Amino acid sequence: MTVAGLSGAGSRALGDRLAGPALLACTVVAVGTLVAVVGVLGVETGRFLTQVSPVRFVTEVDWLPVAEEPRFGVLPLLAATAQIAVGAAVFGVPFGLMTAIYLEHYAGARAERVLTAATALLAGVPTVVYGYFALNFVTPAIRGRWPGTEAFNALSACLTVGLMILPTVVVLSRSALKSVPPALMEAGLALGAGRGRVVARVLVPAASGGIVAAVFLAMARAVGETMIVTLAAGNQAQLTWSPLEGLRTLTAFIAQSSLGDAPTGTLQYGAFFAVSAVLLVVCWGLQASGRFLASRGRGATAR
Amino acid sequence: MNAPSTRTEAPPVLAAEDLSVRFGPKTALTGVTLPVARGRVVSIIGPSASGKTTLLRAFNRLNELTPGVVTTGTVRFNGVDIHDEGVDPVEVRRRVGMVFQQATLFPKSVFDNVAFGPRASGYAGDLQELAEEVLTAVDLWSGAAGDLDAPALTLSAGQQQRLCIARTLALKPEVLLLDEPTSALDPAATARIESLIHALKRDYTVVLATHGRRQAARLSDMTAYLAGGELVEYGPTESLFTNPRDPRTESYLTGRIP
Amino acid sequence: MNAPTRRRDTLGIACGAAAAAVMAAFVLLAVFLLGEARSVANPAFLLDAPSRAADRAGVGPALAGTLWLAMLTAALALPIGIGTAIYLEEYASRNRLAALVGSALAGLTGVPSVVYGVAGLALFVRGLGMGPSILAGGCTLAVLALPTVIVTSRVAIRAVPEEMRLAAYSLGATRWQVVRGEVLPAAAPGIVAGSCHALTRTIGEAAPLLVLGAAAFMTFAPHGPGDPLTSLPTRIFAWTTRSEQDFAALAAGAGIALLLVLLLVNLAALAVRRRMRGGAR
Repeated sequence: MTVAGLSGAGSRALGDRLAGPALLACTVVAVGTLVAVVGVLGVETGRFLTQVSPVRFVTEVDWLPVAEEPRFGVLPLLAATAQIAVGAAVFGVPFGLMTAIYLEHYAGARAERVLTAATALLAGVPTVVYGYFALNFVTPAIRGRWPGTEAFNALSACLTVGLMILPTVVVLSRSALKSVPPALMEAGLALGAGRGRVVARVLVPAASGGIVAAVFLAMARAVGETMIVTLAAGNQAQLTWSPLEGLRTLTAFIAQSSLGDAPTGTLQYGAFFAVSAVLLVVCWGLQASGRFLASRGRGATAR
Repeated sequence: MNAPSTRTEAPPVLAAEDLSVRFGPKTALTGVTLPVARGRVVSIIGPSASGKTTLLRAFNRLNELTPGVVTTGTVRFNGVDIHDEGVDPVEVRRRVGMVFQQATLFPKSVFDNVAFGPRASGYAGDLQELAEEVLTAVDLWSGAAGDLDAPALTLSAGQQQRLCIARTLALKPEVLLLDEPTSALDPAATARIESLIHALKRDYTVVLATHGRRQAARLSDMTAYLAGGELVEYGPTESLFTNPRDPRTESYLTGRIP
Repeated sequence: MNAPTRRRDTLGIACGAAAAAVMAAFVLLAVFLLGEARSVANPAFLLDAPSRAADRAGVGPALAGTLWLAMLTAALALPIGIGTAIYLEEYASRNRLAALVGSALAGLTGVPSVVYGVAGLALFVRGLGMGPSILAGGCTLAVLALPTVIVTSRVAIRAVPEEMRLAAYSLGATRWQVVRGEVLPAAAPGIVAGSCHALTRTIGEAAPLLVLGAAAFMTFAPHGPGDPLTSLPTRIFAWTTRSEQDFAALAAGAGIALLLVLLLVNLAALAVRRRMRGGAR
């Protein structure tokens, strides 16, 4: 028997010879495109920061991109984004976490089916529809309660973004609760503790890593949320702590400024990329911290 | 380490020569030399994680699908180094068939499972005829698998394993590698597979990795004892079992090593 | 554990109340949308062009735009994304570069959609000179969907048991025969589900299209990728920003139309999965 007897090259079908290169081509296109996305943001941001000093970009408190003497202080936008994300978490996380606990440890089969379907549907609603809901339902309701509220206000956006991130919190914290070994529950019950006590004192702490990750991921989504804040929170780039006043987030600035009109290379055009880069850094930061805290939490449980 | 046998044998159909395999930092086989003579049944015995599966998978180049594997030494099939540049691993696997510990049938019909290998290699003959031939060989033709369109996964565990063997026979291989084919089966199903292996001896060279010392004694002409990735002893089954030359072999055979 | 003891404790009652509140919010959202859209519930609304007079306005061009965008996005993102997933899982060697590509892709799934809009403006609208067209919108949405398609498809492919691959290889199958014949059919339900998820998310996006410069007012339906960019989500946005009550009803109606499109995509994905399960036997 010779090597030729085992070479078998003739039996290779056309599919086999084409598949590898074709799939590699897909990968090159995909990775290339995504590199181009990040690359163009980097390049344009870099160009912007040669014209506007990075220090002033992150320390000035005025954001007046189209004024005669434009000012590019990103702080008001950043503060507004933080306010919306934290506000959304304040509303969304408790309800989401408690719903997850209910689903995992209390709900009967039917309640579980209905609630799971409802959260899935909530997750499928486009954010512009949420924005519509915020402006036409939530805001009038708030203004009915506190008549002094501005037509565009942070509270309405926080409530609605909270509703939007709720499915994320429910699904992710539920899977964190699911990953706790059921033996812990049995052990707790065997020690004579009530069900609620075991859940609150043993199971939720054991899942805390995953729950924290869920909260961070949900907040990252809130940071990137655009349509709700654009429609409901208004476009005043101001530093304010009042939830009843309007504000302008990083995302709302990008969406509202009809930047299709800004000529390439101008400061205004560059500002969109710089703000996008800030958004990217904030979102990645939140995701990375979530993952980090989750892995630490898991380590603690394992010990 | 021993010379294979004092009997004069034809040149081995399959042979490992100073074969070492490691997965990343973990060594699985060290310097194994093991010739397999044509038409024989060779058993490979040894404790769990002694390298039996790795050795079998070295014979049909299946190890290289695992990321991070490094293989040194030679494996010869009919005298040809199967790691030679001109050798197509796909062709090697068609000629050296393998059956796994767990029956790994595809979620398809009995017929599609049997036809998988021949179709992959572009078999020109009558698949129906071939299916009848190999299913008869494993005693499934008249039984539950007689219905060729039945989903393979509805068969019993023992039938599934026999169908796996039939599926491999459909390739018309020269060598059959059986990796603990009965360890997941009950005694009755095990007995049927064993008599099947006995019958296959006439047409095939069989390399059988097994946990069962008695199974090796019942079925094989030659037995190799592997421990910790090293070949401790290799010789005719009868003399290895009755008169082991290495004290480690003896303690394994007497059950002092699990 | 029997039901009565399950629900009696304080935590159970509190969590049940929270779940009820979530349910109530969902019902409220649904009822409000449907109630607001009542006045536009007629077939002409789906076909007519928008108009300055609210009672004659419809979502025809926007609906056509969204269907075009959905087709373009699917045609671009699914083959490239699934192909990339197959390559990374079944062909690429598992080295540092592959790991880097993997984690970069995972990171890109979390990038806000509006950022893709900004990049799409620079790359497609300006860079490749596509202008604010359906084509530029489709390319941008495809890039937005790509990381999700890749990541979910990889998860589905990785879930295929390794024994199945080994069995196929041991029977003398070539790599492509293993992938095409065994891995893909087994992973297909997961790939379809992931692709559907990525696609529905993307079709509902308004922000990136606003950034690209979606036409605020378009009275004819786009006939091809070169026509000006219009879509249901941006139409909803435009109508929502009008303060007159009549336009609010139009926005709600457009919202329902968008949800119907998403429902259709989901049903199509479900039908594909059903057929695959039928064919797998």
